[in-house]
Amino acid sequence: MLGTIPAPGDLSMLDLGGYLTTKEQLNFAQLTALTVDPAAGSTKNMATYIDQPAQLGAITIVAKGASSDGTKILSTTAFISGTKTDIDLYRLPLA
Amino acid sequence: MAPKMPKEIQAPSNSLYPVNQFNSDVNDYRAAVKTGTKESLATAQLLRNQMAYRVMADIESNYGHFEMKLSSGRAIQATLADATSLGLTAATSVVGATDVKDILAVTGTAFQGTWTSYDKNFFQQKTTEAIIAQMRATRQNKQAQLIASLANRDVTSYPWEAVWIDLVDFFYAGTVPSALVDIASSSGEQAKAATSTLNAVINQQAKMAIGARAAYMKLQTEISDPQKVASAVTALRTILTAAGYQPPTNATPSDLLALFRKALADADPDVDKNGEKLKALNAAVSAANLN
Repeated sequence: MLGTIPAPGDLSMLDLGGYLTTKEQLNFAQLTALTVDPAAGSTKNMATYIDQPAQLGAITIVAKGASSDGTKILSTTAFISGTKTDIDLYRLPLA
Repeated sequence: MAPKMPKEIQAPSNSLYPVNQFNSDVNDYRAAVKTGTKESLATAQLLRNQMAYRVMADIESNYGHFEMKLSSGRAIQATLADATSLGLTAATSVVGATDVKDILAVTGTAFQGTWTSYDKNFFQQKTTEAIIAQMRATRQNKQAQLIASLANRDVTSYPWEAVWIDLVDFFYAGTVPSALVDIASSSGEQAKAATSTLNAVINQQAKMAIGARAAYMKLQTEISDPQKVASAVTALRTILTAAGYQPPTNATPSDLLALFRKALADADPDVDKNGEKLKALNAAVSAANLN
């Protein structure tokens, strides 16, 4: 599943963060990019993953500029609940 | 003490969720989830929310009665205790005979000690107001989380079972032991805030995935340790079997680990749309009790 693959564009920030975390955890992967799908009319996102044998902490998504625990890993625009939204992705430490 | 509650807002008028109706709603919910179509999942979400709000209404109603009883009941007990103590003290001062005076004095001391012990054992000598304020604050917090989750999350990321866990939390937030623990742990507020922050930013699906993956990482380490390999193999077999896999009897520790990795991949949210495999795997890992 490594490489660039579609990710849902209709999820809330909480659930998209959960989805990306789940993808990483179950596929021994690490998210490196999240963008909107460039195809015309699409309301999906595209996520890029690389191989990552170590377990990473959860990903959490907040509105761009909002504060969050963890380390910021990406600042991007993606579909959140079907709307293009500027967001920041943070990596939380593993408990 | 409180004014009489109008009938229109008393519990029986709009709540009281009969168990048979609840069970029937749960069955309808499960059937709708199992069907798995967009429409049936929307129906399941409506049913989930309806069940959650009805249970929440019952908890709310019972809590209102409980708070009132706690407040007035404890005040009455304290007043009676004070009256008894004052009566014994007064009697001691007016009785002439020394023996009787001594007996009354000792009885008064014993009564006061018993009352203090009762108050300490059941209420940790906290005022009723402090206990109620803590219960209200914790309940409000739990209820806000519940309502936000019901409004924003579908049945895949927030299934009825997760709602149920939050409802149980909501119920216990309105109990005296829970309030006393919360008051006592105020020195650990930072840790608590961190935990609630984590709960607020990670959904159930991610928590299950992290737990399953952590189990994999732990067992991967243990199969390389000669002293732990046997228990790791047993745990791997237990988890895989409980999750619906059939590991071959002659499988090596590495084979079992590879099968566990396959089980993780099978639970990928794009493959396992309803999250059933992830739930099963998570339950299997929890049951294996890896520590």
